[in-house]
Amino acid sequence: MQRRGFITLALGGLLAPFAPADSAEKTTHGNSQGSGKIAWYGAWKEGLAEAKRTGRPILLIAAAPHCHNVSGLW
Amino acid sequence: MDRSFLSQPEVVAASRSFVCIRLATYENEEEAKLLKSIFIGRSGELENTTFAILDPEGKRPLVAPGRSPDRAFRGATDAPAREMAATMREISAYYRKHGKTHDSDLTLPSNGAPRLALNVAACDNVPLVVLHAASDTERTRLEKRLAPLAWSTELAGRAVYTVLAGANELKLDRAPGVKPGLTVVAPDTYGQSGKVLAEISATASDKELKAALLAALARFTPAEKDSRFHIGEGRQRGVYWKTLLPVTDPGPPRGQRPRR
Repeated sequence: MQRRGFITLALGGLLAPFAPADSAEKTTHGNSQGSGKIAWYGAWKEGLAEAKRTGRPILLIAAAPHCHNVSGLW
Repeated sequence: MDRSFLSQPEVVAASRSFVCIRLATYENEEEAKLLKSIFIGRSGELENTTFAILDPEGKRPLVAPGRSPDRAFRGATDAPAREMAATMREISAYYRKHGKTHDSDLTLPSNGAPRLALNVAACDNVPLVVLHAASDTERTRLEKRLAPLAWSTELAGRAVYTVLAGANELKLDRAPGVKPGLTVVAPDTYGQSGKVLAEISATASDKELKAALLAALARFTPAEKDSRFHIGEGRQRGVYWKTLLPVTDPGPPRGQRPRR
């Protein structure tokens, strides 16, 4: 399958040795299947510190917790 | 936020090998600068949403950043969420294979100040777990005990966490009486006030803590939200959210704006 989402240039070819997409993943309590929702860190400083400490890549999203200035809705 | 990607089971499963960071746009000046350095839309200003996958140093984007995962994955295949999950698995496999990932437990995924965390909980339609502690040492101890529970299979992603520093930081139906300990709160639909679902003392054992949290979460009934109704009623009631920074999102392009 072609991975058009990658920026291979940004990694300078580092992605070539990637394991197959369906390779088994080691499971710790931080990466169990969970209950169907992503668990998020809400601050960059804290999340980045965790990424550096654990060597995990970062999934980053920003969203405004209001819609048309009304709270309670992304 | 693009639920078509982020709520897909494959993406959620793949996310467990990442550190997932969700920033509230327009709530922190430093974070706003960071977001602008990652992605700027056609408006040239910070837009409501940003998406990126970055290396563990937070510097290199590993897929095309954008306003949503669409830019990187939509159009790649007929199953973009599956493509996103597969890409995430490849990325985490790379970092594991090259010995860059330490097999250590993650800390508690907290969501900032209580006022914002309550709103985030309402947006996510999940309870808010509030930590109370009289000292930093006590707070750290409680966070360390709570972290493995927050990442457990039963609880991951089912609550938002925050630390209460002052008594009046949250508008609740009654004042929390447990110190130190946890208060589990059901946010109102607008995330402006909350109802106490349970209070759990820090003297509870780990087993009791987990059982009490699960029981509290089971008592929570997620609100059914229709966005048009929510916005309409919110405006009528004057329920507005005051951001820390000015909102600079230009809105959808002409032709994609909803009719009034």
